[in-house]
Amino acid sequence: MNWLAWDARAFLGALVGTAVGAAVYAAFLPAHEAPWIVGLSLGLGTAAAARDKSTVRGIVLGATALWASALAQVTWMPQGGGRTWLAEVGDFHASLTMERVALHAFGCLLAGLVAARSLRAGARRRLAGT
Amino acid sequence: MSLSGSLLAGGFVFLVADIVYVLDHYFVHHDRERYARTHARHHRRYNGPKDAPHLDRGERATYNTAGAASCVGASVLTLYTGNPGFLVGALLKWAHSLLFHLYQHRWWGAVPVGNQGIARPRAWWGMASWRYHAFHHTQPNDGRFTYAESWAGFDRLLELAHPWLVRFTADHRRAAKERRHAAAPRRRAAPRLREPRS
Repeated sequence: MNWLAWDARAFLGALVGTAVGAAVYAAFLPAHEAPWIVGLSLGLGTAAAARDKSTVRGIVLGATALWASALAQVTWMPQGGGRTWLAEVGDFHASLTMERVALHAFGCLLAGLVAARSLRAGARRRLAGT
Repeated sequence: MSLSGSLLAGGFVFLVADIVYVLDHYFVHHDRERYARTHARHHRRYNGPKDAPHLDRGERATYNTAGAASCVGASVLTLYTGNPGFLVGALLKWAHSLLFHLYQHRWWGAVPVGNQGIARPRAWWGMASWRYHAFHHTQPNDGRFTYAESWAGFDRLLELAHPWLVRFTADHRRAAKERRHAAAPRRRAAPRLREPRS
């Protein structure tokens, strides 16, 4: 049984989607802070590559989108103070405001909803644990 | 972050993961099609005499992908709260699943479990011992639930919730659908009688 519910194609699509999303997120900075773009792009990349639909994959990648958007924020908009990138990741929670949490959560929701789908016509639904 | 906060967070993730595992075990045993496609293989393997190592490829994949999925979720909580306990709890639960599997299946040997005289466990609220799990392999559909991975109390709670929870199982939904289909033609076949005009 596979509880991650993804295969190599969907995984590659998620990676490409995340990279594109992070680049678009960076391009909009500093005028617009929109970490949800990373989640949306991750979801679209996955849905474009996936052969099947999967709710479990949507849940797992929704959570992964929270990591991706957090890493994008830490990379392109660090808190500063001469800290290393890893220290920035460790202190990411200190940079959060209610608005930022809502923006990251919105990205999680978009990623989860889109990554659970497949753009392929007639794609079958993959059941949990298979 | 305080030690007590981390312990609470770790315990919370461990407990939630345990509940999810027990619930999934209950639901897979109430879904004939999914059971036949996935979990039946584990029961077949362990119900015969021991002829292979514990934790084969399929079992490792089950525990490892479930553990990895839990860690993804828990690591997000750690990232957004700064509390490492969430991730540590998920990692401990992952290790616990693999190690507890070895403990719960220690009866697997030359004599098949059905010939080992395993008695029906009493309805208790302690830990799910290897005897408790051995009974699950001999009587998976017994009214005394034995789905728990660690705390037998979850099974007692499931027994209490079963009359309500069973409505959400695939077998129950399938049976309800079949009943509706079986009833529909009879309704169509029954002619409406009219009173003869006088």
